[in-house]
Amino acid sequence: MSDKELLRLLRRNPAKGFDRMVGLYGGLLYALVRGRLTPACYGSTDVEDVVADTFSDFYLSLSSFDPSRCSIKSYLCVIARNKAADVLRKKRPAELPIEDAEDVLYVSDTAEESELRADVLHAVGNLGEPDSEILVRKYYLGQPSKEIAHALSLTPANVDTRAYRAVEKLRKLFGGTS
Amino acid sequence: MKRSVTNILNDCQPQELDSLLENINITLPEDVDADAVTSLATQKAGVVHRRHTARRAALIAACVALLAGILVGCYVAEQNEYNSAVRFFDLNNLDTAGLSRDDIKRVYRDMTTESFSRDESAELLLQNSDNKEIYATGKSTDRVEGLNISIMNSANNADIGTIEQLYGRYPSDDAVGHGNIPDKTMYFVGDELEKTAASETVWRTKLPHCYEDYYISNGKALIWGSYIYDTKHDYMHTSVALIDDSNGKLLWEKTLDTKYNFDEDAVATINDNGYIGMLTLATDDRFSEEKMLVFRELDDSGEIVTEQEQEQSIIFNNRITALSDGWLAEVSYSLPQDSLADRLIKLSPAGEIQAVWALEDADDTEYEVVAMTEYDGKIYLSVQARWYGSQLYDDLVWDDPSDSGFTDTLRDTAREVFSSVLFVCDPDSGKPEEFYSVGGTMPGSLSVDDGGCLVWHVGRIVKCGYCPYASSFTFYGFTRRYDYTFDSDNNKLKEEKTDIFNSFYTI
Repeated sequence: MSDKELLRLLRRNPAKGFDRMVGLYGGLLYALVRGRLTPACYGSTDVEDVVADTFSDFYLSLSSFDPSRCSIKSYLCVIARNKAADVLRKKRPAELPIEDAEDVLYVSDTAEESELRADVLHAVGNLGEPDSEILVRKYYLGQPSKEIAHALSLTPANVDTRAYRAVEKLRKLFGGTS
Repeated sequence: MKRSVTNILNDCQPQELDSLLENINITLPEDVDADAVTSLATQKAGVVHRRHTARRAALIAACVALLAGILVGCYVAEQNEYNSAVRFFDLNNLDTAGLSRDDIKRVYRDMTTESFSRDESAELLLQNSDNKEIYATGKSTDRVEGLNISIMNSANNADIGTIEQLYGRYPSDDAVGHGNIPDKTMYFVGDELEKTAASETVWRTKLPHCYEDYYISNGKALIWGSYIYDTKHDYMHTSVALIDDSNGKLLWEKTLDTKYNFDEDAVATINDNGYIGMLTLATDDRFSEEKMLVFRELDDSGEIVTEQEQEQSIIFNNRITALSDGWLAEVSYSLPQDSLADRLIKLSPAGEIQAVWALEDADDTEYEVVAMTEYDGKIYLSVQARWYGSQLYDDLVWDDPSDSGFTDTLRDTAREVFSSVLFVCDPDSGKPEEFYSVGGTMPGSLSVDDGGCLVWHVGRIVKCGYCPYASSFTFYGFTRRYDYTFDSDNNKLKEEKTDIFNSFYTI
C-alpha cells in the first residue's frame, strides 16, 4: 500500500487505516522502541505503549505530514525515536559513554552536523547489502544480533563480524585516530 | 571528535532515513498482540475500533465461565461505564444534579449514540443551553423535536469538544462525511450481533468470529467480515454467515477457502435468486500493492458455485449489488501518481469484469458513492461531488489551519464545494447516468416510500466549521434534511424541507 493510499484510508476509515498502519509498520517501530527501552529495563508493555503513542500521534498530526518530503515509515520512526527518548529522559538512566561504544567514529572537529550525517548515511548505503541493513538494524533499531541473523538468514557470529567490519570501514572513510 | 553511528543515525531527519529504511520490513514478534496495539493506538487517538482476532472471543468466554469472574466483570464494566459517563458530563459542562447513577448512564448512552430518546437528555440539553442552540439529530423526544435550536460555536476549543462529544466525533462508517444515512438496525458488538428496533434490542446472537457488515434480504441477514485466522502470522481471511432476521438464529457460517495469506476487504449482496455475490481482495504479501480481486458466488446454503480471480489495481472494495445479468460493484482503483479513484465495475454472472465506468466528467471534481439501491429494476447511486476548483476552500485549510468554529464563510464555501448527485444505472449493462443534482449539500440514503416512489434524502449544509484536532482537514457541521421524491421514470415529484438535522464531517 502506498503512503498516499494509507493516508486516504486513515482519513476515510480511520479504524481500518489503523489496522493497516499497524500491520505495515508495527514491527519496525516495535523493534526500534524495544532497542532503546530494553537496555534501560523497560518491559514489553512500555514498548507497546510507546508504539501505540507513535501511531496515535501520527494520526492526530496528519495535517502537518507532507508525503512529498519523506515516507510515512521514516516519519513514524522519528516520532517513535523521540517518544522513546522522552521515556528514557524521565528516568534518567545512565547513558553509555561514547568512549566505550563499539560504533564510535572519529570525525573532524570542524565537521558540520548535517553534512556529517549526509556523509555517514551515504557511506552506510554504499556498504552494500547485507552490511548496510545490518548496521541500520543494529545501531538504529537496536536489534540484537540473533534477531538480525534470523531476519537475514545469517549466523549471529556472521552478523557481529560484518557489523564490526562495516564500522571499521566507516572509521577509515572518516579518517582520524582514536 | 568522537561520534557514534547510533547517535548520528538518531539525529537523522525522516527524509534522511528514507533510503536506509526502504527495504527493511519487520513483523511484530509472535508474542505481541497486533490487535491490542491497534486498539491501544486507536483509543489514544479517539478512533472507534473493533477487535478482529478470534482470540478475544476465547478470552471473554474463559472469563465469563468463572462465576466470581462474572460478578467482578459486571461490577467493573458498570463502574467503567459510570466513570465514562461522569467524564462525559464533566467534559460537556452538564449538571448531574437530580440524576441517579442509572439516569446518568442512560443519558450518557442516549447522547453518545445520538438517539435522544430520553426526556432526561432533552431536559439536560435545555438546562445547559444558556445562549447556545442545539440541533436535534436522529430520533428525538417530543420535548426536543420542534425546538429550533443549534449549538452556537465560538472559537473556544471547549465548545468544539462539546460538539464532537455530543454528536459523535467519529460517526459510524455509514455516516462518514455525510448525513441522512438511515439508522442501522444491526450492530456488531465484539463477536455478537445485535438487532434493534426503536433503540430497543430485538435479539442478540453470538457469532463464531467478529464480523464487519451486513445485508438484509427476504428475512435473512447476510453478514461478513475478515478476522485473524492465523495468529502466528496475523494472516486474515474472510468469513460469511447467514442469520434468520426474525430471531437471530445462525443458519450457516463458513470461512472462505483461499490460497492467499490475506483475503479481506469483503463486500457482499444477495440477488433475486437468493444467491450471494462477494468480492474480496487477496494477497500473500501485505506490503505489496499487487492484489487479486476475487469474486465468489455462493448458493443459499453457503456453497461456492463460482469463483473467479483477476489481478486489478483495486485497493478498496466499497459495495456491490446485483443486476439482472451479473453484478455491479463500486471500488477504488489505485491510479498512477499515487492517486485513487472510485469506479463502477460491471461483472458478469461469473464475476468477470466486463466494463469499468468513472462517474466524474471533469478533472477538478471527485465523486464518491455513499449509497446504492435498487428501485424499479434499476440501480440508483447517491453520490457526493467535491469540487476542487474552489481556491478559497483550500486557502482556508492551508493558510489558517487553526480551530475555526462555525463561520458563515466556511458554510458558504462548503456549499460551493460540495453537492449531491443522483445517478441511475442501466439494469442490464450497469452503465451510470447522472440525472439530478443539488448544490450545497451532502448526499444521503435512498429509500422507497409507501406510495412506491423513490425518495432521496439530501442534507443542505447549514453550519460548517473546521477543526484540525479531530483529524487532518476535518470539516464538520450540520445539515438540514430535504427529501426529493421521484417516480419510476426519474421525474421529480416533490421536494420537501424537513426539521431533521444531522451532523457531518468530511475532508
